[in-house]
Amino acid sequence: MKTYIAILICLLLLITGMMAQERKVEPWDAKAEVKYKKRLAEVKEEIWSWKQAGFKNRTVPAEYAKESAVVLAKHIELTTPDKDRELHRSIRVLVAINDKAALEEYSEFSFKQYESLSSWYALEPFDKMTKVTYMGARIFKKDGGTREIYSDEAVVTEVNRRSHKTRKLAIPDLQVGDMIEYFVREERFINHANAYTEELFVLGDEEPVMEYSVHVSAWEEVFALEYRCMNGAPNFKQKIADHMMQLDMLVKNVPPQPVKLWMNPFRQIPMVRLHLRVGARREKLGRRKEGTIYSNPNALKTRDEAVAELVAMRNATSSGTLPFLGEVWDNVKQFKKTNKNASDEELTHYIYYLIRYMGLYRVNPQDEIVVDQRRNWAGLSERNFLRYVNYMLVKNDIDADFVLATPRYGPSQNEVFETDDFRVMLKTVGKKPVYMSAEGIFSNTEYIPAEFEGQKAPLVTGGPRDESIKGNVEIPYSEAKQNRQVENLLISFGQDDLQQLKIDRTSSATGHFKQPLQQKLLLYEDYYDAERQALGIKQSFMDEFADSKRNRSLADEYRNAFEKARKDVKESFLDEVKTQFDNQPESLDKFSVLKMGLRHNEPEISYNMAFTMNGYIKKAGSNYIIDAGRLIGPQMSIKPSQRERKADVYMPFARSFEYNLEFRIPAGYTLEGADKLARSIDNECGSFVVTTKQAEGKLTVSVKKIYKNAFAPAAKWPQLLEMVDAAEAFQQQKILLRKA
Amino acid sequence: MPYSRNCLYLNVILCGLTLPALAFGGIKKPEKAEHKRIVPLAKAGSVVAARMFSGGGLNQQVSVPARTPFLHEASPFTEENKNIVIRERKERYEFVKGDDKHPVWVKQSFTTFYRCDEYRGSIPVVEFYDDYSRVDEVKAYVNGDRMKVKVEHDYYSVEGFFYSDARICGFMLPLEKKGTESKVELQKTVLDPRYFTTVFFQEEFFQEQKEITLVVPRWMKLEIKEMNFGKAGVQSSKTYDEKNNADVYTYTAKSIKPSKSEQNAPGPSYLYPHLLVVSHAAETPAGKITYFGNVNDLYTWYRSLVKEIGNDPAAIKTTALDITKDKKDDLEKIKAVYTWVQENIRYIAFEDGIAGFRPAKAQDVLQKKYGDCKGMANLTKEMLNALGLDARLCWIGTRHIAYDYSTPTLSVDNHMICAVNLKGKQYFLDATETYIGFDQYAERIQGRQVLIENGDQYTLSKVPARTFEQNRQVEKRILHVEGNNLVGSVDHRYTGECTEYILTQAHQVKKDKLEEALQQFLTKENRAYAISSVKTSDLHDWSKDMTIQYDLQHKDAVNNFGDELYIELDFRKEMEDGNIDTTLREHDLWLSFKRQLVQETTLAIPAGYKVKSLPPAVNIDHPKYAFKAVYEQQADKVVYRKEITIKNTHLEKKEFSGWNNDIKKLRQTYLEQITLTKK
Repeated sequence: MKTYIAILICLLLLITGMMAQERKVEPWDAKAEVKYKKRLAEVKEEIWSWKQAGFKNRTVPAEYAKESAVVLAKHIELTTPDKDRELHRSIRVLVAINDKAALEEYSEFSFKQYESLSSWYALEPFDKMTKVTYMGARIFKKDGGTREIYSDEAVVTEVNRRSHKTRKLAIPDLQVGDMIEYFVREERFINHANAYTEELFVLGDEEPVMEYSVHVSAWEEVFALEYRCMNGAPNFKQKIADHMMQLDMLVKNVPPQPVKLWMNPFRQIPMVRLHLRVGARREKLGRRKEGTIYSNPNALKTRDEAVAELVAMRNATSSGTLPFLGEVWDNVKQFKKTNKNASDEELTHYIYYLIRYMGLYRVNPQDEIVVDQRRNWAGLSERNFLRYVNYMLVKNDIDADFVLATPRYGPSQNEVFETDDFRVMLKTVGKKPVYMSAEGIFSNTEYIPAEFEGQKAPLVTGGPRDESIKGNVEIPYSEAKQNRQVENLLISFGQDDLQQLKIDRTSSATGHFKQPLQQKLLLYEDYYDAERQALGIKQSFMDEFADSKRNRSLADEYRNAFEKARKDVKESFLDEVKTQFDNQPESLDKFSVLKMGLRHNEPEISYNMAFTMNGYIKKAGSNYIIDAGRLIGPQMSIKPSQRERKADVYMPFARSFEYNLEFRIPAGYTLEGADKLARSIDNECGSFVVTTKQAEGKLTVSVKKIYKNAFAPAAKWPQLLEMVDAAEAFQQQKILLRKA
Repeated sequence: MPYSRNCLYLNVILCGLTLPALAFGGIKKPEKAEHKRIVPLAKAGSVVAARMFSGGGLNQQVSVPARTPFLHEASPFTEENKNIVIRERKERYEFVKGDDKHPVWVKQSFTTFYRCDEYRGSIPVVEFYDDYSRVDEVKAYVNGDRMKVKVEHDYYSVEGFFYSDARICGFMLPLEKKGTESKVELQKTVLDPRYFTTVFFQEEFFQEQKEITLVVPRWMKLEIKEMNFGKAGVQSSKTYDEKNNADVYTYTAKSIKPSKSEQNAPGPSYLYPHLLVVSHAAETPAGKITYFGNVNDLYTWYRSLVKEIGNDPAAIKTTALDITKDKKDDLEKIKAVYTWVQENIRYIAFEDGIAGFRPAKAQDVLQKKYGDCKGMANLTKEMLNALGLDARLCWIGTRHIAYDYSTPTLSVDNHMICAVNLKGKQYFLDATETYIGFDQYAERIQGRQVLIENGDQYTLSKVPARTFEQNRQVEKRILHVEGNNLVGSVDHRYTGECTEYILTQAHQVKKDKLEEALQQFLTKENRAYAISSVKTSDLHDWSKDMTIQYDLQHKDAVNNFGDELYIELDFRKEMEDGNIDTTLREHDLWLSFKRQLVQETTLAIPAGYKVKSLPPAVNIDHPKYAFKAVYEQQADKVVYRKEITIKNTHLEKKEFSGWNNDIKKLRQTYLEQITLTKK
């Protein structure tokens, strides 16, 4: 009946859509507003009556006087008012406003007054599918005066009958030196037995927090609670009394976390994750026993749940989850027929690229025409894509395992807390395993995403019968030489204008550097055709369309779109040069992609450009000073506040950069100062080495910069700094072109 | 499960936007602190609209990512792209009898034929409305077949506005294939002729044919002004419709280029041909309704709104007296009130119905500590009035608007400030300019005509124009050589809008990070340009010049080759990237404000060295700008002095070539070094 009503409402909306522009408040909204105001009055009375001591504090400690804002007290409550799976989440915060930046930050609030939690039903405030938000604020003036404002006074900025109503609240009378105390209360229902809330209490933010407290209270007959304290965060005090499971935490003087560079908050900052979930009579996978508090539960339990989910996903093979299976089989059979001696490894690669092609490369007549760079961001669902690949491997008797990896910027294996902490790769079994992931339209085999490197991960067999893990794998780190950017610059001087550089540049990138450049520079027309041919697919979609009476004009339209994309890609090359050199070229005379790097056996993208640049050569009398150091492009600069470091260093991956600059010395000039360019910093964390060679009217400067590891303990930060500083300082280096 | 990654199978996560960003030509974007309603100038889409109505497109399977970082202005909707054109667009505006509340309506009907010339796709079709207008009906036809239109309505978020009553409605219109046409018919009603002020010819697509018809019954008195018709090739005619006793004005044009949004360009009212409709009066059965026959009518209407404000002078007086208690004379009091409003009232723009024209109560703004330009001007005025001073409200159009009060329409102004008369002098106070000093004026209001309240009368005046001397930025460096480094001390002094620019940036930075941010600004994030012992004047006092002093060690700035030292004395290289791309730029360029940058570096010649060569001087003195750079040896010193002066901010297209040549000369100066050699 409810579905029927919803459909009817939708139809009515269709018919009366044009009337929706009337500004008058609609009856449903007006009716809800009455209830909202009544409830708001109750909520504010409840929250303002909380007794935490921190909210009486009006003194900013001297040590934080220079902070933009200081949180004097922050209290979060998660409560279940009755046994009807209703959930109230409240936060109350008292903040001292010390400057205009903080004033701006705290002077306006935007919130969704009503938000539908279902995409099926029209918004109906106060039903079980809608989250309702209340908020209020009071200001404590320096002179002792106070002001209050509440969410019902906020202006309405958006009303979407299907999904939400949004409001904006401007805080009155707030000035630097005042304190603002605000609360936000969300009320909703937990509608599914498997659902849980995701709470994250982070004890370390931009602003210092003088008192941080949490209170959780849930009916023991209905709910279960579980939490995990990480990185030194304290445990909750827990008790069960009056049918309520209760958790409490109080932490004082939480300092700000000033270091943002190369941090990994999930593994470095104290935090607590908490789930409030609907309990079950008996504990089982995906369910927790009602009335139970699981304090820092064994991570293996979560892992086993993730394995069970993965197994279910792996086995869910049907025509719905394996579309175009017939075509895939036809092509695989053809491949095997024409490559009778193909190894399992070769077949693995073929299957992977075939499914990538079917999902992302080929075109159907009804598709929107998207052939420019936007297409390069296409991607596939990780699990669904790998399930398909695995299915075909199994059917072709190739053993593979799913790798349940935890990304390195999330919790580690022994601190996982929910199944979504895991991601998935696929790996063939054997001495030389082939790793497979789903990283987008340019994803290739034998590639491990940087976020999985160095992680220990359980394996789940790809075959349909096994349901438990079959051991673990230590996912290897890539080495700096695998993630490599090489710049080869042939530099000559303008014949008419010695201050203009003519640069012929050939660049290449491998490993984790490859995909961003592919997304920026490749054209769909090129990689579609290259892959189609590599897979042995004879007819292109253009041929198909041209042969079809119905779609013949489409081929013509695609040709127009290809032409436009090819013309427009020049802008991407220009932008790439500008980014690399932090300087706009005067002209881009030619550009081309030499290698697209579409597959594991073509590990690099490379491209060539010829352009002219100004701004690197200074005239001094009849001589010229060349800003040689700047030609390697902008280098990282570590800010003063980041130079002292106590936290370990989490970089995305080990990497290397190579710049080979060949200057062609113009006739009538000699080159001086090349010897001053040479330098060598080489330590455990990285190296920056410059060598030069001068012969036959040429100066060759070779610059190699290497970040040797993705991780460095804090104690080795000075070594990393030494290398980074050396590269930055090199940018100041100059050579002289002296008139002979 | 909180969420699932198992989203649609192989469902290409090309997520999001279906259409790329397009030139933002259609909508009048407000400059800071403009108080008037947003009057859309064109009827078709915008970036926002594309995002809002791009749910499907022709195919849900392949859509386009929201992150499309390489989209440039060459989007499918610029003239460079010939994919979609408007074969014909007809607009009809007819004045008709309305209802009791709004006796005269303007019924509007737009018929647009879109043609796909290269490849199929979908385009957003949108229309704006607000409290004083409504969209009545939308019909669409794809390749001749009626399409079921599902129009989405939404609040339209206007940049810089906390709240606006602007609404947008629209849908995605498919173009079936190359060579086909889609047609849209849209009916709209403006409920009051006051708000029907302009009709622009430009759309966001190239138009092959355009016809605009205005049907004006003779009971409706109005004036139609033809603006920027110059070379637009607009043909016009006027006929009489005897049956309806109406004059019919018809304007036609062919081959109309799409509008193009460019940074620092004049407002659309300067750029595009349009009709300015000045509704004077209407004879209705209920009697004559006077709209805006002349500026007096406009003022009378504004005045009627001001009378409704409901200010409470008593509530203001206490604060006004408190702010000025230590001030000895009236001038000091005015300055104190102005500075207090600048410092303590946050600018938050509201535009809601008639409140888009009527200031909020002064006591409310005072109590809330926020307001829009009208609220801030009204509070300033009330405070000064409470102190017995002669302060008045002023309506003003910022430089964005091409008209003055000789054209009495609501399009003539977009801002409100306060004027105060003291001892025969008139000062203007615009507290929305948070960090500008008293009697200093922002470029956007300088020289602009102001309508000043004067009881039941009004006066017209002008905000004084200022020269570049109001806005100066002077840097003086005294340096000597130490090894490979330049070492010394540096002084900066900022005035006027230069101060405002720096302070606006500074106060957006959290104070625990301000020192570092200031350092990064002064060093251009170059650690080799190491500064220490930074001292600034009070960043909360902009009534005086802002100053910064520090010690400098510019590492590796001295290059030693053989017996020679090569030194670069210009570190900042202001306007190095001032070149205008004449291949892309369509409109004139309006620089932010007039100003003068002076840089003076004095370098002590190291003992044992003498000057071998100094770069040649540059001396460009154009009526609108000057670039000067001179190196001089003065005894044992080399003095480098550079002046960049913007005397007039309006650069016309015809001046671009000269400007680029002069910028090239300036850049060449930046590519010169001095050479010292051993004696």
